[in-house]
Amino acid sequence: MKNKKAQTGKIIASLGVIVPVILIMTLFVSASLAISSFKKENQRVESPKNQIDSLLLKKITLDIEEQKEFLILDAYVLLDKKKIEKEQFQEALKTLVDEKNPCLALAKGNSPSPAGLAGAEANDDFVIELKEDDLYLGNIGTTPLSLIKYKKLLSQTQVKTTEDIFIESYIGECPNE
Amino acid sequence: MNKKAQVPALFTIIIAIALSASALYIIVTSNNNRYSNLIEINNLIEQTQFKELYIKEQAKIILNETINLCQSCTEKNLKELFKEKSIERQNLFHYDGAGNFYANIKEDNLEIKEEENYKLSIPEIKIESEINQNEIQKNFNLCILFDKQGDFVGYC
Repeated sequence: MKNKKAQTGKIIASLGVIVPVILIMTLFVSASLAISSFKKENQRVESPKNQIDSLLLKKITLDIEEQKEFLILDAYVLLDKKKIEKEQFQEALKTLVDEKNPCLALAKGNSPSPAGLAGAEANDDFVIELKEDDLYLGNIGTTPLSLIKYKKLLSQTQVKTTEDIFIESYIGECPNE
Repeated sequence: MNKKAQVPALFTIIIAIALSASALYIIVTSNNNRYSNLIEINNLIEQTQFKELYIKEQAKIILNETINLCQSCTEKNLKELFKEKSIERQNLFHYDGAGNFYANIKEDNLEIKEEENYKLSIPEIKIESEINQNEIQKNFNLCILFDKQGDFVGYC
């Protein structure tokens, strides 16, 4: 009789611990399920972009002492070092725009994601669009918004020369207005 | 006396809460780490591919320039001119992604053969890309064919 009472007492006492522990476990499981389903929605990693179509690897001809071919990336470095003029670079870029690739965008800066900056920081950024057989040349310094619409299309390249340069570039179909 | 008996039970509950909270914290942070790791690895793959393509395109430009400048040159002269033009370009751009390509050229680790076409080969060019703890190293052999007019024919 005494034993039975003791056992019942023990069970009642342990219930006081087991119930909160089960509650905590249930909360933990539901919280982790909620977290994992939430993550699935937002965390999508795109596969690496094929660099073979990168604008920075296309060739242009520039007149530096004599006519020479340069990759866009190298030409940008030359522009950065003031070895070529902005207009000279822009003229060469125009040759890349055609019916197949009517839009081109380039932005350069010393920190990540340089596209969309205004004023002096956007001085060496370019937008060239072929519209109805006419070329639109973006003056990015005063109208940084013209680069914003390319934001999702731009791919970024970090270049270490004498300093770190970040370049966002795109060539292809024009984005929707 | 009764209160003393409740202390271990309270401890059990507190430990359960602490364990659950730390497990949740680990789930959240490891998910974030895995996500940013994937982005970093993607960037590394892109960077490595970009560097390899850059080297190939740069070699094509320099070889084209070399052949056009020296149509009647011997293999030795072509090699010297290619070397000279390469060093000129490296000094102009200092692009670190092509560092090993230029190092190979400076160390004379290249060959230009004149057969039916011009054949440029540079073995074991190393490319390295690094973001935080992740790193990709790749070695590749560069072998390009150009015709006598200085136009790209293909890779060999």
